[in-house]
Amino acid sequence: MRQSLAIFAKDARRFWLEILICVALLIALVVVYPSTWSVAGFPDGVGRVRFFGGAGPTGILAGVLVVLIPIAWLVLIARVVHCERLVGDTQFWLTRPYDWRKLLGSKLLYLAAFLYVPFFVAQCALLREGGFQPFHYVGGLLFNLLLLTAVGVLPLMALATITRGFGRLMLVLLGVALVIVAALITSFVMPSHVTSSVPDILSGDLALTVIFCGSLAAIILMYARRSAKAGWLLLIAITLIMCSTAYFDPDSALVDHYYPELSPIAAAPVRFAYGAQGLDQPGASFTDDKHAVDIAIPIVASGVQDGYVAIPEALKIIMTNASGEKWESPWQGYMTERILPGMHTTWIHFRMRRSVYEQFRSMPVTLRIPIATTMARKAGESVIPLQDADFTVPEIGVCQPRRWTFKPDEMMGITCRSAMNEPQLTYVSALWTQGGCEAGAAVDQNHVVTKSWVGELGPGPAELGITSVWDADVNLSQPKYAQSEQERWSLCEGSPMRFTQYLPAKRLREDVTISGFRLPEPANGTI
Amino acid sequence: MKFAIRTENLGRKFGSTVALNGVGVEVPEGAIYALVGPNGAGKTTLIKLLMNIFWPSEGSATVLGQDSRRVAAGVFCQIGYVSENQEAPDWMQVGEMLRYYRNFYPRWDRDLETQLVRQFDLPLDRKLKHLSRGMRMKAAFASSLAYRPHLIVLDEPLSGLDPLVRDELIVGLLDRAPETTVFLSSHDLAEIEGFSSHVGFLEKGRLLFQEEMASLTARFREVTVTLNGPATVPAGVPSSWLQVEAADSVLRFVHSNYSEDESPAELATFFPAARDIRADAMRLREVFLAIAKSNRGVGQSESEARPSLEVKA
Repeated sequence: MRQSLAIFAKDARRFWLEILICVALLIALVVVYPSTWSVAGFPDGVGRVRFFGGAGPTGILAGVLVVLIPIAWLVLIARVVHCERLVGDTQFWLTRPYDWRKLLGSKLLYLAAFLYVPFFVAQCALLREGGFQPFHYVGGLLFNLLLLTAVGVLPLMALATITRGFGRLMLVLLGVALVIVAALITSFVMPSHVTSSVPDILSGDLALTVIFCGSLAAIILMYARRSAKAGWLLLIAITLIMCSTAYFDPDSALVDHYYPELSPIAAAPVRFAYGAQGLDQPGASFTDDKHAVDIAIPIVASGVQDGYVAIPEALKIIMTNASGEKWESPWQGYMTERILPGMHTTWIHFRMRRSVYEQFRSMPVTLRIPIATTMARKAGESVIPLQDADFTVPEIGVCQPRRWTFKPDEMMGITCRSAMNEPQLTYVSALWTQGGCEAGAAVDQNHVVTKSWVGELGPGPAELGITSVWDADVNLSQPKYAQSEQERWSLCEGSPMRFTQYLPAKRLREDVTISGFRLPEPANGTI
Repeated sequence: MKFAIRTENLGRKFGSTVALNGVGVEVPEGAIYALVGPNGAGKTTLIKLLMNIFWPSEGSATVLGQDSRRVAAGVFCQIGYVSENQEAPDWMQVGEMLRYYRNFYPRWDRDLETQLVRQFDLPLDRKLKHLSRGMRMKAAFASSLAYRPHLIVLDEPLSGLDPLVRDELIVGLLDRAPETTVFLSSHDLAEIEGFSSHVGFLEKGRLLFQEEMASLTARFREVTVTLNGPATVPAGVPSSWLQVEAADSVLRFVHSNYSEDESPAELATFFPAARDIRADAMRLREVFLAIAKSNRGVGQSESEARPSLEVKA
């Protein structure tokens, strides 16, 4: 322990400036970031950084800080690892009684003291500023640190262990970025009808596990053996595994298992049927990819019970013709759609190879369309009058009205802040009043309800973010265009807003079968 | 006899380049062993193998009884290592560095540290990066001697230093010598001749020989035979005679196996008509030059047959 503390103290003395910069940036973020909450649509989280002009100089500064903080951490990590670099044979410490476990322990202690603790404190401070009690979000805060460790700290530390200095590290980072970009570009070039795109079932966790364990193994290997060759091989393998997911989505193999087929005798929580009627007819169109054709088929969804919502997540097409020829698409993501009780027409879109289209278009085919669906059930509901200030919404967080940019005295929706993550999937409805709000939301006036969804189904304890407070806009569009001042619709203070939360209840797979279906002619040209 | 360092058939390759080949070094405890050889002979590679900085491609080595591949923190507490090529924590002041290293050595002797600082006249408040090369080397010596290591390993420690600093370092080293084993490498024979007890000669990755210094200097003699008539190199010259040359009436050679008891009679028998036979002691540098030249002048198989080139413990 004495040795670890000595190394820690030495590093702290040597890199005081780097530490100071990291802490100063976090303090600046805690000071600046809350001022952006009053501006609708300001981004949150590290993954969604934009320089939102509407947020003004403080918004730009907050955006810059969200970018600068990870860079400062990169420098902090690289410098402390390279201080006792592991590559080479002339380092001063190689022939001193350094125990590798204590050396590694001292580096981790350093990161804990000067990266994790300040970050944790900054996140707590932001939560408090956002109107949340940090004590209630300890799990989320720690999970965010875990995510930061898995996708940021450990990979950077692993790369630092196999490089001689900061310059080399930057070159390696550039190389890794180029490999990832190349993999993404080549995966985009691949025809989309041969690649799968399904909701994240396991691949996200798998990727995190591979990066976390691989980086950790590389770090331990380097500290214990200083085998740069083995370290490089391990990190190249991790990079290649991650890049391979651009071509092969492991989740596609799990859809059948993850969304079990609905038993024929069980009551279907949602029913899908072919819905061609009136103007809703199947269509086809060419895509930018000249070898592919997009097909759209109307589907009627019904049978959703009160208190439930059906969320189709993925589908695939199995097409057969009278000659016994068969074509099966990979699993494809469904367009975001949430089906409430009642009857709804929805559209299925899929892409097929043009040669396959030509093969099947001449005669009727039978389509079997398995649809992977998640059922969510109502978990809670609250009705809260709209206030012209911050107001708390259970299960969401703290909300405030959004105003028109050109009419700042009129409200157009709300923006909600949630802690550590997007809020639970919530259906929001609001009452718009015809005319102005001078008399408040008077009962004798005409009213229209507008609705919107916010949040995601079953969010984890936290999503990776530099900030611990997430913004979510609830866009409650004006019901219709107003011809005159008397006809205009207003969202008034005191107007009741209904927030209905949904939780995941069941996953299922249901088939839609369409017999005697003819592939439609392309609407944008002849073949 | 106990050995502080012992290698057996030690070899190391870097790709297709053979840096060391079949090296068998034996450093008795308490010895001051000088590993000499020209630049590129493999001295630094051998030391890095011993210090577990490199791993051997073949063979094995033990350092203070520990397999070199397991030399780690516990063993390094007993080893003082100084190399001309080693980096230093340049950002530290000398005093800061000494205070830092104290944490790593249970046997760190504060009094000895003070004594070494005084002896080497080290400026404690100066950063290492602002010191001259000689001062940096003195700081490295102080930080490697203050814990009374059982083994001191020095890789070209005196190379390029001015004579004054060199003497200071040697004195500092010799002060510690009675309680330790010293293993040092050098390409400069003159700098190690005065204080080494054992010497090993490494060339092109092979250990040509190793021997006690006293024995080596005793058995090498430059023999000058003055004849009455013109001298020619006689047939059947013993293999222990190196660099046999004849000029006018004088025959010169290096006797690599000279014995005060037997060799005068042997020479008198070989040169019965000699007017004068002289056998002069040789400096270490001359011994090595004779060996090196002799080794280069003959085929490998022939050179291996020469007794002067045999490895002797």
